[in-house]
Amino acid sequence: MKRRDFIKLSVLVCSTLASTDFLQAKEFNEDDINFSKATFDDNGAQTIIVNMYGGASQLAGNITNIDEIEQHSQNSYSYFRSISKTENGCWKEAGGDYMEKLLANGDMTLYRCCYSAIREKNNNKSHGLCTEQNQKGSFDTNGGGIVTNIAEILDSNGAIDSKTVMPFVTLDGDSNFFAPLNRPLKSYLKATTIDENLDNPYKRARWSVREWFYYTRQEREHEHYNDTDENGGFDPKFSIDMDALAQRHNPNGKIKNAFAKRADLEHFIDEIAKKQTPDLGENSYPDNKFSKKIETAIKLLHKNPDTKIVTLGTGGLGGWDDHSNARDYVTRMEGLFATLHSAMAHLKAVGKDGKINIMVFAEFGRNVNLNSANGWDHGNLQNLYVLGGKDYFSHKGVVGETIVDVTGSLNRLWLKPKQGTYWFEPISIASTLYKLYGIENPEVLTGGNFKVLNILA
Amino acid sequence: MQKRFLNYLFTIILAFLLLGCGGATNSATNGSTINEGNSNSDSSNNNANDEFSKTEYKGLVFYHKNLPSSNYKLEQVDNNTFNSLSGAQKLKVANKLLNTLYFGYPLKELKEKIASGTFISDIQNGLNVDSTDREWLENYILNDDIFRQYTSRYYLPQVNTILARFYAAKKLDKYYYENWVAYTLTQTIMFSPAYELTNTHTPDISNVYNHLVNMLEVDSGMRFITYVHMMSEDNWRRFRSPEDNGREMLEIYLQDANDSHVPLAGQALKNWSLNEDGDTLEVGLNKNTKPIHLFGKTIYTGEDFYRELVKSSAFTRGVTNRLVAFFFPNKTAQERADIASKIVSSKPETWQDILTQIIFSKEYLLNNHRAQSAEETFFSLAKKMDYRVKRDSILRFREALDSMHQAAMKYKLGKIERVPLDTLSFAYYHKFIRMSVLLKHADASQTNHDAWSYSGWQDSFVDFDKFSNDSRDDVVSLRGLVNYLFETILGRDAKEDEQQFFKSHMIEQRDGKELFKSEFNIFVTRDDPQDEEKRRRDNKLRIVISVLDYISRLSETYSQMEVK
Repeated sequence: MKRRDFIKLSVLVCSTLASTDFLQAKEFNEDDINFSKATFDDNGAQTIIVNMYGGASQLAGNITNIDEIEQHSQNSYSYFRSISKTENGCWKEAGGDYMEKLLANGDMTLYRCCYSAIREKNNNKSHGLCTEQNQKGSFDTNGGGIVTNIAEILDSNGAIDSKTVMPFVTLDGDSNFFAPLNRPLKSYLKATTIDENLDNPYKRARWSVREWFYYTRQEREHEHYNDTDENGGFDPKFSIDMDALAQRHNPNGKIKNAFAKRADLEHFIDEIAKKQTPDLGENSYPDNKFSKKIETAIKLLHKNPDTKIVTLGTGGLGGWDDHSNARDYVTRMEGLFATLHSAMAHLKAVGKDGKINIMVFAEFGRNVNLNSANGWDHGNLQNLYVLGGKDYFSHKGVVGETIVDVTGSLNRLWLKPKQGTYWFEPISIASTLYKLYGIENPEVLTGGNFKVLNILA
Repeated sequence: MQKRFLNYLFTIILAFLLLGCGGATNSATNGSTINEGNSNSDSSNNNANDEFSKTEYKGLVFYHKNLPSSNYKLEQVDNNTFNSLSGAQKLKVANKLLNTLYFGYPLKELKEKIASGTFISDIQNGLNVDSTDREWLENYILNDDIFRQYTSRYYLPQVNTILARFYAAKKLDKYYYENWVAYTLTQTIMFSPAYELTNTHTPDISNVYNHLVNMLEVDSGMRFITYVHMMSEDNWRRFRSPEDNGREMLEIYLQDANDSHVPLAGQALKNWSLNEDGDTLEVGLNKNTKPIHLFGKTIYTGEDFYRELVKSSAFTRGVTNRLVAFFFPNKTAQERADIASKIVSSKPETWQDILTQIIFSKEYLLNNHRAQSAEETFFSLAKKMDYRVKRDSILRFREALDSMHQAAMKYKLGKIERVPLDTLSFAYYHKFIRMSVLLKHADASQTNHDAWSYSGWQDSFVDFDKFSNDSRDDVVSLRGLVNYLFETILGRDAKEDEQQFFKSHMIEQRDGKELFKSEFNIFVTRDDPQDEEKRRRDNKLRIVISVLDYISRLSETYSQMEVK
């Protein structure tokens, strides 16, 4: 299952399913925002958001309740070849060993109770709406995306400006993180898309731009007319003017923006591609597409401190909508955490584990009943994994305890926060991001006073 | 043919009944439904006295004739409306309509059709009439000499064939339209074959698509088509557990995301599962016997669930919303709801009732703007430009769609964002249209269908008789050629600054006159007539390439604009 499928669903369902409980967020007023440039500068944060589209099960990071789950589950968990508990109650075969290493090194906080009481009340376990809410950081889906809000606020407070190079990047195309406000967003604040291989479709084939008849007679007589770029070769003025004229006629919008960024991206991507990953030895990245994404994101953030947020999905590992044959989930989680473990090694190797953080979450977690198809249906409690960012995060290890809620009805077996334990609504992730980037009163954006996670001072 | 297919469908239904998936008797435990008094089933209202549509199963009417356009509630562009537009507006509207249908005509032919005064009704009526030689067409697109036939699933041959059909079809007729409807539906969340999933298999692509075409051909109603699709293995490979399938069917077709309905659907579907062995749909005999209250009815089995789902009034609203969102992505939620309400009030019972109503509407043809899909751009350009494909061109197009994130039939939830315009996706879109279409000129002397130079637009596209020119006036002739290219591709003349741009590069002052520079001189004279013809052709080619390159950099090329 691909990330795009899930983000796209949200567009359809949001209009009919918007919660009535939270109608105050909408578009924020700049005057209502308390922005601290000092916090923004001190943190100097750069974030990689990893979205586990489809709704990943929380069990990899939490099998503390597995015995009770097994008692009540429709199908037996013996379906999985092996379920071993690690020291902190993680699923050893599903990335648990890597989680333990990250926890032991103080590189990660594993939150086990990202739970939504509000969705429970509203009977909402829909991919589309939950994804949209999480990515907009509000139960009111009328507003803009988290990244859009941050972009506007940083810009209006002079923290970034038109000289900032690619402040927001996605490796997975458009998503609700970048959902627009009703007012137009300045071109340089819009997200730029790249791919993990740093393919460069932005580049126009030289021969197609340097047709001899594009050059004037005078240009053809220039000494460097036949030379390569390195030796002074140049594009014909006709082609350059062609771009300019077309852009004068192109109406404002995404296509004009894409054309505007094309030439810059052509060079930017080449520059990133030249950047080498240090030798990570035994911590080197596993060979999969998701690893390439994370590696590329870190190379990009390292090379370009102007980039503040990069979003990506877990494409390459597979989707997380494990309604059936969930055995693959184990392999996927192992691949995910092997990669995250390498990513931390990469960050340390380039001295960026203080500034760059990685947040990993989904639209929701899953039901823990192993259903008739040996899968899990939608749930309402998930894990949040926060890595790195050690200059501003004080990692807490494992946070939160769960209990099993046995409803007695078919296929309705849930994990829920244990009474008195630390838990939070998924919107708290947005609150934390806002705070991290200097917004002192995130409640104005989230439409509710959702707690800022306890790792942020 | 119709009777044969009808029998085939009955066989499917009977098979389900005999396998215990449905309830053929009236006993509650065998899966009948009890109406709880909510009159939410309106599926059999329209044609109650119509002999044709009396074939039904528990209130689910199988066949419906398309509504006459006079029944449409969404205001339509008719001949009068169209004819009252300015010449430039007519061209834009005509292009918008044809591009939407992945079709196009060379400029001269299009102008003649517009001038007839019956352009709209001719197109619309044509969609109801069979005029394609289907046997020829189907053989042609499977001809390995013309379209390379791949056997490996890696190359997704099923998608290639479907795309090749749109390129090869010569007439905008009933068969073409049924294919277009099927293609449109398979791009949406409702019928996407979802070949990206590990559980799906490439034959699912042709199964979903071809079943749609076959059922449309015999006037099957949209409820019946959906009912058959939901119960298919193809659909179960997409949504694979009772709770998953039940949830998604409710959400996709009814836009019902109430989680409390999901366990009810799961209960009704409890004996349905996708067996890991070959990803096979397996329906057990341990069907549900407890009454379940859904859709204002009491249902029992999975078959009850699917049947009553499509019979419910929320179905029409749900599927209409899906299609309105697909064609009007930039309208506000309220505007989309208003459009959908009008369509629903016309009581559509076929997919054509919704789709035809949309694409001939004023709201769509005059007031809508959106990014144009790559299929709309490519297929229409191919027809307008006399574009010749080489053996693997369609495969390359299919791959390019993937890069643009507009892949056909790939995504689990369809193309909800039909034309992604993030910088990377658009860069691939622009690259394909620029390099593989607009700047791709076919070498007339090339006869090898595998050769790179075989594909591209042909010289006939820019024959001297296609644009106004005067060998005594270079400036007028350049202007004529530029305008011809603009009108063909964009449906408008070049603006004055655009004309000046090309003029300043291609015309020079010589002997006190404004004349073509030598490399652009389309009237060059030589003693040798063959040499002269070649030079004229080459010089014209340079102008055409330059203008088309500029056009490739305009957002209009990738957009359907409002016609103001």
